[in-house]
This record gives sequence, C-alpha cells and structure tokens, in this order.
Amino acid sequence: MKILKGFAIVLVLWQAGAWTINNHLILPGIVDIFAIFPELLTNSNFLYSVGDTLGQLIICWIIILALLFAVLVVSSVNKPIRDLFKSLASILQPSPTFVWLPVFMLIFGLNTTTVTILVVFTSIWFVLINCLVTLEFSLSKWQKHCKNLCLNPVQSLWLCYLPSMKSVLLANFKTSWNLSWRTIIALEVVFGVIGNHWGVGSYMVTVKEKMDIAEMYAMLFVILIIGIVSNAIFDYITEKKYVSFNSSPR
Amino acid sequence: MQFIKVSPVRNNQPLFENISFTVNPGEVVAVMGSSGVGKSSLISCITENLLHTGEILMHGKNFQVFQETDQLFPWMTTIKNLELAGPGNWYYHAEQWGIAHLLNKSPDTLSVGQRQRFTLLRALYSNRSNLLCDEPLSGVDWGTAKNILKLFCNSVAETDKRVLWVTHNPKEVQFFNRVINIK
Repeated sequence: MKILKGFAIVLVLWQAGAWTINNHLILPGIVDIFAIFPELLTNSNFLYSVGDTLGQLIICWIIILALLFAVLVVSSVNKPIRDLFKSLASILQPSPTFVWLPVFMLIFGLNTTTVTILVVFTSIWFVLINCLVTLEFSLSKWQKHCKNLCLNPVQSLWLCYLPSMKSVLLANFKTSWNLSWRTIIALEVVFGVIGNHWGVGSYMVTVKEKMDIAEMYAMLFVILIIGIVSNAIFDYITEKKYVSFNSSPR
Repeated sequence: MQFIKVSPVRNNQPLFENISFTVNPGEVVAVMGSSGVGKSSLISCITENLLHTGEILMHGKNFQVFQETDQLFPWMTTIKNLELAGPGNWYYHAEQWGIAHLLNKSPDTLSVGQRQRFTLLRALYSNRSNLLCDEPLSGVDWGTAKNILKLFCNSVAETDKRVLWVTHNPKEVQFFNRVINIK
C-alpha cells in the first residue's frame, strides 16, 4: 500500500512537472506515457528485451547463490578463510561498479560475460559481508550442536546455519537483488550507447535515438514496476517465512 | 569407556585426586560432587581435549554430549530434530517415552522438560555408543526429572550405551548403576 501511495505521488509530481515544462521531448505527460503501454506490451522486441534482461539477471543470481553457498561452507569450517573473505568483502563491497567496468571490458570484451561478471561482482560482496557476520553469530550458538550431531559442513550449513540466518538472508537478498537490477539496466544503457544493443537498457537507448521520448519513459516505468513487483515478492516471502517460523502448531 | 588415574589439570594443578573407573555397555555411571569441583572438566577432557593426568580410553571419537542447554533446532519439528541423529524407529521410541503426540510440533511450543526428553531420546538412540551427560536435568523440576530418569535408565540397558552422567543432585544417583564421588 505504501509503495502504491509513493507511486501515486510520483505520478502527480511528474504530471505537474510536465505541465510546467510543457515540452513533450523533455518530459512528456503521464497520459502520453501510459498511452504507449498497450503498444509496448504487444511489441515482441520489447518483450524479448525484458525477458533477456530478467533471464540474464536470474543467471547472475544462480551464480551468486552458488558462490555464496560455497564460500559459506568453507567459512563455516575454517576461520582464517572466513576472515580472508570478510576482509575482501569489506574492501570490495563499497567500490562502485563502474570502477570495474573498464577492467572487465578489457579482459572479457563488450559482451554478456562482462555484464554477468559485473553484476555478480557488484552484488556478491554486499550479501557476503552481511552473511559472514551473521554466520559468526550462528556458529557461536549452533556449531557445538552440529558437531555433536556429527553433521558435515554442507549439512550444518543447509540444516542449521542457513535456517538460523534466514531473516537476515532474505533482507540481504532483497537489497542485493535491487542493486543487481539497477546495475544490469545501467550496464545495458552504457552498452546500448556504445553500440552493442542488448536488453531493456539498450532498447531504451534505441528508442531515445528515434526520439520516441514517451516510449523511453514508458520503459523507465516498466523497469520501476518490475522493481516494485520483485520487492513485493521478497516482502511476501519474508513475511510468510517469519509467520511460519513463529506459528508452529501448538 | 575407561578412565585410568584421571584428573583434569588447570593452571598446572590437578583439579582433584586421580580417579579410575570403567563404564561398561548398558551402564550409567554417575560422577557426583559439589559445584566447581571439576565434574564438567572431566567431560571436557574428552570433548575439548582438556589437559589431564592419566589416560582416557574411548572406543573411537564416538560420543555424544548432552547438556542442560537446549539442543533442538527451533526451525524444525521435533521429528525432524530426531531424524538428524540418523534413521530409526523414532515414532516407536517416542511412544515408549510418552511424547509421540508432540512429534510434529515445533520445539518452541514445548516445555523445557519435553524438550529435554526429546534431546535425551535422540542421544540415546543415535548411532554413538558413548553418551556424556553434563547435568542435563538441572533446569527441570524433580517430578519431571524423576520420570525422565526412569525412562532413560531403562532404555540405556536396552541400547548397550555407555553413559557418563555428571550431577550435583544426590537425588538423581539412586537411578544409576554406580556413583563416583569426587572431592
């Protein structure tokens, strides 16, 4: 509800701005933008771009989750490695994506590999540092019990540490997913400008070059709506998990 | 499980006079003494390799520790918690102990006594042959503790487990095969 109210305020302010500027090539009105939607949603190129971007993001997240699981397994059994990853995450987590863009572009070229690596690189450190701190707390509480039950490191992580960390994990995944979503769109815009057309961001650049400003803003709204929907999904999962955790049958 | 002239050492001083005893299969041996005398340190000699005199002979590192602190994972039902110790006829055992109706509940919804009953049941029917109990029932009222001890000691004989039970409560020792007093 709060998101919808916020969205409504943005729309009102937008329309007020459009009336004030009164130039549809700079800031078209809300009605003009939303008039594009039916055409946009039946445009196969646009739908393909959205699917492409979301598909790429899901691949990135599969890589992030696999890496995260591997690092947490190793970190749960070896303190020096845990400390090493904590230091790495502290150093690399605040560095902006675009600092690394030229480096990865030079190594891998102007392609999806660079985008995948950059999105993974941007998102993983943020999640990792929070997960490692939470893991330490979980270890101090549960490690003895896991050893007592003779659980191996993977079993300990899967059956004990991860469930004990789940509220923190979900909160971090939500923030990190948003970060990945913003990063991938930004990278696509940059790649669109350079000329390697690919994904929603690049499609937006193409539309802008054709001076379809209303369509460009309509795409921005689509990006915003996808972000809001994914946030709502994370909120739903967090709430559901939290409720089921605390309301076991009595 | 055999203790030969053992005494835990702290600050280069043995905590008590050397003790020697053997825990045979199906037997519960209680180690009793006042608080701070070094009873729990005797268990730490096995679990944490605490410095000690003498020799402790175990059948491999094959032991499970059972303490007062809660050892059930609150995000799993009690049956899932039992199954962590490996496959077994958990429903049958829980029925014997009168807790089968609590098998699908969360540990958070159980009393301390019920939780300790589940933890003890899991320890008893796990695949480990040595059980080290460090004042596990000190947080439970005597009425409940008595019932748990009766069930526990009857089951130990069936399972051939070797149990070392550390306690400071003289009421508990009536249920055990032997008592070692340390001063």
